[in-house]
Amino acid sequence: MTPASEREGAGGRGVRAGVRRLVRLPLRTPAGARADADEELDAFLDERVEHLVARGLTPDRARAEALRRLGAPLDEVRAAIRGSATRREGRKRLRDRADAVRADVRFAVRQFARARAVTAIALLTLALGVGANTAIFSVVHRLLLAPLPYPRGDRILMPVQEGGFPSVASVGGPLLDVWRARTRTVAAMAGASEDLFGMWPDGAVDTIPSATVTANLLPMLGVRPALGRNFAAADEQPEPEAARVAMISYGLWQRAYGERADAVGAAVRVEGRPLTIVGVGPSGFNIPLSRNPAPDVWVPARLERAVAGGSGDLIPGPGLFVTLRPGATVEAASRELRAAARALPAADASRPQFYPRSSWPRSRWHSCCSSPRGCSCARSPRSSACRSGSSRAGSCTPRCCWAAGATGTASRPSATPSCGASARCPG
Amino acid sequence: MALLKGTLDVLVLKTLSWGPMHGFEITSWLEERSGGRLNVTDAALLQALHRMEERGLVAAEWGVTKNARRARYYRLTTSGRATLRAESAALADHVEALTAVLTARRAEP
Repeated sequence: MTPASEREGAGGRGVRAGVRRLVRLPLRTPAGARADADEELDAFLDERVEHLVARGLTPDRARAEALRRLGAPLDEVRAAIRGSATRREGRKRLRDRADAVRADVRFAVRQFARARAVTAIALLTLALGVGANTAIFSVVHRLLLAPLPYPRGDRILMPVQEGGFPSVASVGGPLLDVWRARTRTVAAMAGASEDLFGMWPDGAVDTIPSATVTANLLPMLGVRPALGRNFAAADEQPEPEAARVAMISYGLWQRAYGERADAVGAAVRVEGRPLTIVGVGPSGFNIPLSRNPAPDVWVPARLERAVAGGSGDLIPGPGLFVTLRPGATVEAASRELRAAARALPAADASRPQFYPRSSWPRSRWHSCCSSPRGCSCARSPRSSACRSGSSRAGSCTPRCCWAAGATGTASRPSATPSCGASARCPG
Repeated sequence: MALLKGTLDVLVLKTLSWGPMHGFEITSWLEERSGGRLNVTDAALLQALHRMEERGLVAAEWGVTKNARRARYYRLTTSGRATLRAESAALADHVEALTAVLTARRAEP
C-alpha cells in the first residue's frame, strides 16, 4: 500500500495548486471526475464483496449484502457521488483560476512599482484619454444627441441647409410658404436671428446683442417671462411704429434697471427706433444652439423677417425652429420638409435638408469662412442668384462674407473670421 | 446504532489520522474500532469523503491496494488535522455534557 509511489503522473489531485500550475498539470475534466467517481464506487463495492466472500458468503449473496450496505439504490448513489465529484473539481478549477488572477495582479503591481515612470505615464495617458473622451462626448451629446433643454425639447427641430455646405442659412419666403402649405408634420415654425443693436436706456449708446424673433418662439420653447408678458402675435406687426415692443434679458434688467418693476413699460430707443419694453426674459435664456452671448433685447417680427438674418449680417445663423405635431417623427418631418423644398424652382431656394436639433453646421460655418476653400460657398447657386441681381427677400444670404463688409462695427469674437472672397459678395 | 448528526466527518478524519486509507479500509476500520456498533452506510461515507476533499480537509490520489486493485487513497491535510483536533475536542465536550445530564441522580436531601 504505497499510494504516493503509485500515483498517476498527470492527474495527481493531491498536488497543490501552485505546484500543479508550475508544472502545468491539468485538472480533471468533468468527464474525468465522473469516471473517477465511478471507478472509486466500483472498487469500493468489489472490495466489500471480496471481504464478504472471504468470510464465507457466496458471491451472489455477498454482492447483495454489499449493495444493502450501500444504504441506497446503486444508481442514486452513483449519481450523488458523480455530482459531488464534478462539483469538487469545478471548485478546484475556480480556486485555481482565482489563484492565477491573484498571482497576475501581484506580478503586475510589482512591475508597476518597479517602473514608476512608465506607470505614471501610462496612468496619465489613460487619465487624459478618458478625460478627453468624456469631454468630447459631453459636447457631442449636448450638440447632436440630447434634446434641446426645453420642455418637449425633443419635439423641436432645426432645419439646416443641404449640400456640400451645410449651414443654418436664412430661409426664403417662398420656402416658408411651401413648408406652411404642404407639411402635415409641422405644428409651428418660429424664427430667430441674432444681431447687434446700439442702445442703452440712459441715452448713451452701447452695442448689445439682440435678437429678432417670432412671437411664438418663447412659448414654443416653454419660456415664461420673469416679469411682464410674452410677445403676442399682434406684436409682430410693425405698424404703427409707436406700438413696437421689445423684451429685455434678465441680465439687462439687472444692469440697466436695477431689477425695478417699472422697467416694463419703459421706452427705449433701439437703433434709433422707439420701443416699449413689455417683458423681462427668464435668467439665462438664450436662443437654442446659439454660439453667441444671450441677446439682451428681443424684438418681435414676422417669420419671414426673423429668419432672414439680422441687419447687416453681423452675426451668422438665423435659426428656424420647427415643432412636430403630436405623433410625427423626426424622420417623417425631415422627408416632408425636404420634399416640399425640392418642389421649389431652384432659383427660389436651394434645397434644404433637415438635421434635427443640430448645431454643428454653425461651427462648420466658421471653419469654412476662415479657410480659403470654405469661401467656395460664394459660388453656390444661391449666391450666384444673388449676384445676378435676382435677389428676393431672404432667399439668399451669402453669409460667408458677413465678416468682410462689416468689420467696423463688429466687436464680437464671433465676427473675427475673415473671408478673402468679399469681392464675390453681392450687394 | 445510527450515527449522530455531524459526527461522521470527525470520525473519518480520526481514522485517516492513522495514515492514508481508501474508502473500504476506512469503513472497515470504523466497524472494527466501534465493535460493529456504528452504522455508517457506504454511500454516506463516500460522499463525506468527497465533501471533505472539496473543503480541503483530505486529499486523494489513486493508489493500488494490497489485492492489486486500484483505489482512491485519502490522507489528512494540514487543515484536516486542525479540524480534527478542534472537532474532536468539541465533540468530547458535548458527549461529556450529555453524559452528565443523562446520568444525573436525584440530589440527596
